[in-house]
Amino acid sequence: MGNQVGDVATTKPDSTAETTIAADDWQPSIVAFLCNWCSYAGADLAGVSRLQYGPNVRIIRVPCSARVDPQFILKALQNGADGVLVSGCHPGDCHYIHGNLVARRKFAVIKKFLEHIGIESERVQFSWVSASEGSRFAALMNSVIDGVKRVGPSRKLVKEL
Amino acid sequence: MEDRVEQTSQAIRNEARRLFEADEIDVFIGFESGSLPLSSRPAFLTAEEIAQDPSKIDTLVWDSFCTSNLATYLLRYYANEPNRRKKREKPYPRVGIAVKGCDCRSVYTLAKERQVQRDSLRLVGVPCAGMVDVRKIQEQCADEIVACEEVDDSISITLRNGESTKIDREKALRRSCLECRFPKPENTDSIIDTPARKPGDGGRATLEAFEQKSSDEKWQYFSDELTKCIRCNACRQACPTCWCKECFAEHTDLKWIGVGSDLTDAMVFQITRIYHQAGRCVECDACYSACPMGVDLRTYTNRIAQDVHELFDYLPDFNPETSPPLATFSEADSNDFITDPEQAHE
Amino acid sequence: MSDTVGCTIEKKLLPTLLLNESKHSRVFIPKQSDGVTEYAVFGKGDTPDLEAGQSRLSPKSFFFPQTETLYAFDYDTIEPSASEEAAEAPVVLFAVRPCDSASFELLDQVFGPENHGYHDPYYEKKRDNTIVVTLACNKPGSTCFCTSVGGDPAGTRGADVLAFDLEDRLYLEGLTTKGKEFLARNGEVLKEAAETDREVANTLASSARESMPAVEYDRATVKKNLDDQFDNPIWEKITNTCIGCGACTYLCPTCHCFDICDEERHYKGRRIRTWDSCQYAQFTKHASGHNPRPTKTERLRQRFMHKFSYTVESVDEVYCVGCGRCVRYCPVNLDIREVLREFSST
Ligand code: SF4
Ligand code: SF4
Ligand code: SF4
Repeated sequence: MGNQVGDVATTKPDSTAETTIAADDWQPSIVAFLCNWCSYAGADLAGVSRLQYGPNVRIIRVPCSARVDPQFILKALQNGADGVLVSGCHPGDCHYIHGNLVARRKFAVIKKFLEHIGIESERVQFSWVSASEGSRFAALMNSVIDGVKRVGPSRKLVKEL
Repeated sequence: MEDRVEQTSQAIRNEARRLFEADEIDVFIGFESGSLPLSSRPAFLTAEEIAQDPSKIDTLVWDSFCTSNLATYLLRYYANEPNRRKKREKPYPRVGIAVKGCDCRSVYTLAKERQVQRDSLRLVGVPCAGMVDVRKIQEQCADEIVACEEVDDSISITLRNGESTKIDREKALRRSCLECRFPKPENTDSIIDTPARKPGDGGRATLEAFEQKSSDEKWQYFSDELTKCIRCNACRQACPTCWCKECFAEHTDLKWIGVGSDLTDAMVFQITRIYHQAGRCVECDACYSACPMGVDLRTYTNRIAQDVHELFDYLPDFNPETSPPLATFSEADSNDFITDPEQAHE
Repeated sequence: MSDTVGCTIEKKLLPTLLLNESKHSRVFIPKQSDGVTEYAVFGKGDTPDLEAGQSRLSPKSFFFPQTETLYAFDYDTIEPSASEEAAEAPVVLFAVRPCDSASFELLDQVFGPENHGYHDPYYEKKRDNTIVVTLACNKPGSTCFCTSVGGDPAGTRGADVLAFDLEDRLYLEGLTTKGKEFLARNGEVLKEAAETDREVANTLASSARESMPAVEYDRATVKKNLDDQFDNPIWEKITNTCIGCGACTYLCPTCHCFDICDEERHYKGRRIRTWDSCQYAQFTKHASGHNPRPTKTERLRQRFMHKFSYTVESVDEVYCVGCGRCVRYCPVNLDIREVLREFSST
């Protein structure tokens, strides 16, 4: 009944998911949609290799970057995510042959469109990370976190409940 | 010389009459005069009606108030029977339809998406002189408009207080029409002999000016516009390419967006609706004209069309062969928007 | 202050009166921005725009907002907490048009205790706390047809105070206890009216009345025809142009159908009541997926049946006050007056 899609927090609000906006030590919360075959494995490798990256990311595993409907991104922003990252296999390496190429078209359009309505380009980002690129994944996460920190807490499109 | 409005209307009547007489169509969709000044509304003539009373053809008109995109009305003729497995019993009706440049492009878009059958249609192309933005006319009038008459390039208006004014038609056109790239329909079955306006730049100049705004200014503009929205769905319903059997906004078991008047819900509705039009929107401004609250949808439909053009070199035109860009891909597509951490750190 | 003769107020003193009221109430006045009339909160320095005519959106939202939180909840609090504290504050709705104030009485029969003794506390509280100052229309709009559905440009239905615009001053009559109190507490800016004021007001009202074209509508005939012709294919013809949006119902002052749903996130949420529209596909969709009104034909018919047949039967009222909003803002000019004419022949 009335399931709400894409809830950002998976735990009770008084635990880790709560973001309190104290000017200095504000930490962005970022939702990352990672494809099962490459980017999720890349994140795994980063973990296993004990590479350091910011703890701000909530990862959602999807079968393929093409599974990510731009609606997911909007829902995450509406639910208060400060940034959204979608990452899949490099072009040419998709487990489903060309899922990521179909996805690339969708993402190119929605990214431009969100900028046109006034969402900062740092808020919504797309990338490719392979299963063997643990260090690229860590670097990507840090770069996304830095970008989102630059533009500050998300206020646009956040639905108040 | 006869006036353009009368001439065009007459030519459409003649063509509709010819199609009925030759038994080429079962229905004709055009426009008739509405019950209000500055409004012409979709008209449906059936073969039976015309057989009974041939003078009904004379109700067809074509003036500057034909703002609906008639392609919207085609979908119903091709809708699947509720039970898909059942074979369609009746053959598809043969439909004659008067199309402007934009209507015609919507028809081709729908045909590519297999929502209409091109060969059961008789497209009567009407080279387009542009349609007016009723709001632009109202802005110029101090009182309520009670009557209007269009002759060639001017529109005479009578106000409630008895005054009358003349309005330059060109100044009252919708932005989509002033900037329209394809006022002249192509690949039609017949075409009315009337001049089309000069093709415009597709809104490039306006968009470039808009691009000068900062993110926050753009956001402010978007917020101000969407604050007016009452979620009546007129924009969606008016659009020929919004044909989903069940709109994402209506899903209830996974509720994508709230149904209330929350601003962000209205925004997500419009962002998604327009995003779903990528590569399909013909910039006809039917959505804008339908909106009872005057939300500026053009700034956004124009952008998505322009983006698709720039990114994938595609415009929904009159060519039945090209693939809709979001239904395909190319290895050569741009990777420019992809975040590359190695570069970002340099 | 005598209450039969009424009183007058100089227009330049209106802000003083409204300022006085705004000390203890939220006062709303008509304002125009971008050509759209709306009721906005009165603030210091404002003057009500009495020439602004009908508001684009009907003032029903004061009592029946598009989205209303019934209660909010969180993970630990099981007790629902009534929100809407704002409903406690008294409100003055200034210069409501007679059609719109008449609609309040029709809404009362749905949400008020008249409805089989049911109580809708959210609605009732707001309704009780509101004083409606109705402004008679000297210049009815071209789409207004209140007189044809039992209303009047100087109608008193639903009004607490009735005001007439006599150029430099307003003539006011207190109609209800609330209205009389309102006038009594503002005695210092009011003057006792002269006999002639009432006469001038009457003349204005009758000339307004006469300026309105009669729409062919006989309640009993239309009801009978609607009932008899439920399955008449004429409905399909009428719906031809309909695009199935909800503009008519959302702008209509008497349309009152609503939906209730929950919105929740992060272990808290709220139960909201939102407007719904009989024109929408999910309106009567059953949980099984079956929809007794599968196409827009049944849905449009429902709108007319509800307004001109069902409510006549159940509460002896026509749920149309003749404001003409749906006539004016229907994207395809599907004119309710024409539909009534269609069902008027005996
Ligand atoms: S968009 Fe082009 S074809 Fe369509 S109405 Fe305007 S000028 Fe005519
Ligand atoms: S989105 Fe608007 S402008 Fe684009 S095709 Fe649909 S109705 Fe026309
Ligand atoms: S037509 Fe206008 S008011 Fe209605 S949903 Fe669309 S944008 Fe909103």
